[in-house]
Amino acid sequence: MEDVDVQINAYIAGDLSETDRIAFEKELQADAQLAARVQAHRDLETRLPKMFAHQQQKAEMRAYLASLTSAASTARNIKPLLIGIATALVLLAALGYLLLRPCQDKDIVLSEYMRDLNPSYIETSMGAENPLKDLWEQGSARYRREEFSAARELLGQIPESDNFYAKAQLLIGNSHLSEGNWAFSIAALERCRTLSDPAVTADAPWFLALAYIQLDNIPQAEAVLQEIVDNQWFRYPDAKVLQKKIGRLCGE
Amino acid sequence: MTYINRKRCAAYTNEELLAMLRDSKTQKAAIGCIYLLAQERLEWMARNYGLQEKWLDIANDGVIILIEKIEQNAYDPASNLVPFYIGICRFLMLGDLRDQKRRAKGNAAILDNDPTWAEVPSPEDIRVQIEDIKAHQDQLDQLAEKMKKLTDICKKVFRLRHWEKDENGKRLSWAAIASQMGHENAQVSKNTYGRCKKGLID
Repeated sequence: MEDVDVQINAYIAGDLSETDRIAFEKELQADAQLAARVQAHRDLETRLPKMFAHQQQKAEMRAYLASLTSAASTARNIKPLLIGIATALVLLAALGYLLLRPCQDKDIVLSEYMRDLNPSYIETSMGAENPLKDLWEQGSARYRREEFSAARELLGQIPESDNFYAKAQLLIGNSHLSEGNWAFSIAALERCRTLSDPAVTADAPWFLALAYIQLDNIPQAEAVLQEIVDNQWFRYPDAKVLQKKIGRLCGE
Repeated sequence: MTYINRKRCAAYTNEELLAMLRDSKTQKAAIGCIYLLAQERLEWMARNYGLQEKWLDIANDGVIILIEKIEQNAYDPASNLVPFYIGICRFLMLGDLRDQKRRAKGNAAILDNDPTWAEVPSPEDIRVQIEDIKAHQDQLDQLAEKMKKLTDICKKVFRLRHWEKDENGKRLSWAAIASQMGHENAQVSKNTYGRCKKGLID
């Protein structure tokens, strides 16, 4: 059959001599099997170029789809990765800031809060009938004029039995605070905290905290500030801010 | 080549995609778009049918059928290309399962009840629409499979005769084929070619 295929191929290609072609066509008319084989050769001639084109198209298209698949898959995989990296960078930056941010100078931190050491009640007047009225008014006036020594001398004469004793002690504590006598200031202000005058118990912790900071007793300052945050935050909203700032004060 | 991504592809209307498919310059981009827009569903479908290994080949066969359908002007422009393409791929996947005498895995059945698949033509609709194209391409694939079993000499002579072109874009002459085959003359190449055809006919 192999020679037959070569002969059929020569016949289809028009390569047979005239004599051979006529003889082959006679044979073809008589042999249905041969005719079918010739037809199979003809069909193959038509299909082979199509098959190559089809295979080429399939191969190219498959490579193209694979590239799209891998690009889409990379994009899908890389998205959470990028989000993860971005999150990690933000966290690292935040951590770095916390660890490396410069410490804050105590004087700079306190300068803002030490400006006003006047308690809220300083303008309060004693009743006209109180015999100690002059002591209070003159003492608080001296205090406002920052004549602290004179103020302390006058206010110190108000006895513990008087309603204004606590208020006077607070001004004494603050006058020491203004002059940098931290320990004296703390002593007077701590005493104020034990008294029952609500005006004083409201203001004293704030000045006391400032005094503790000045004395570098930060744990005590933090405790007092926490007390303000818990009970007096509406009166001294800066307490929370100061509480955070003292955590970053420069050490000695 | 037009740059494509899923977002950009989603912005094309069906008419635009169809016009792109019909233009040889933009055909590849259109195919890429249809594929990207169908990809998630195809992958999901392949997973459910247990055909993860084959899904890209099937997606590729689906693309070739779609192109043929468009080139034959036999595609109904009113039907949406992406669901149509998904329908072709589903038909091919089911055919693959049938050839392997396997049943689809259990949850594959939910595909037919998923309302989001409403636009995807049924396997029967697809069969009617692509039957001739698929049969023709199957024949070409079977021929390619037969070709793989031939000797390298036969593969080469067929490739030179039916695929390679000369510098003018014309088929190679038998003399040129003989030269490339290392044959003494054209007649040797013709005889080799005739004998090799036997392997593809029997």
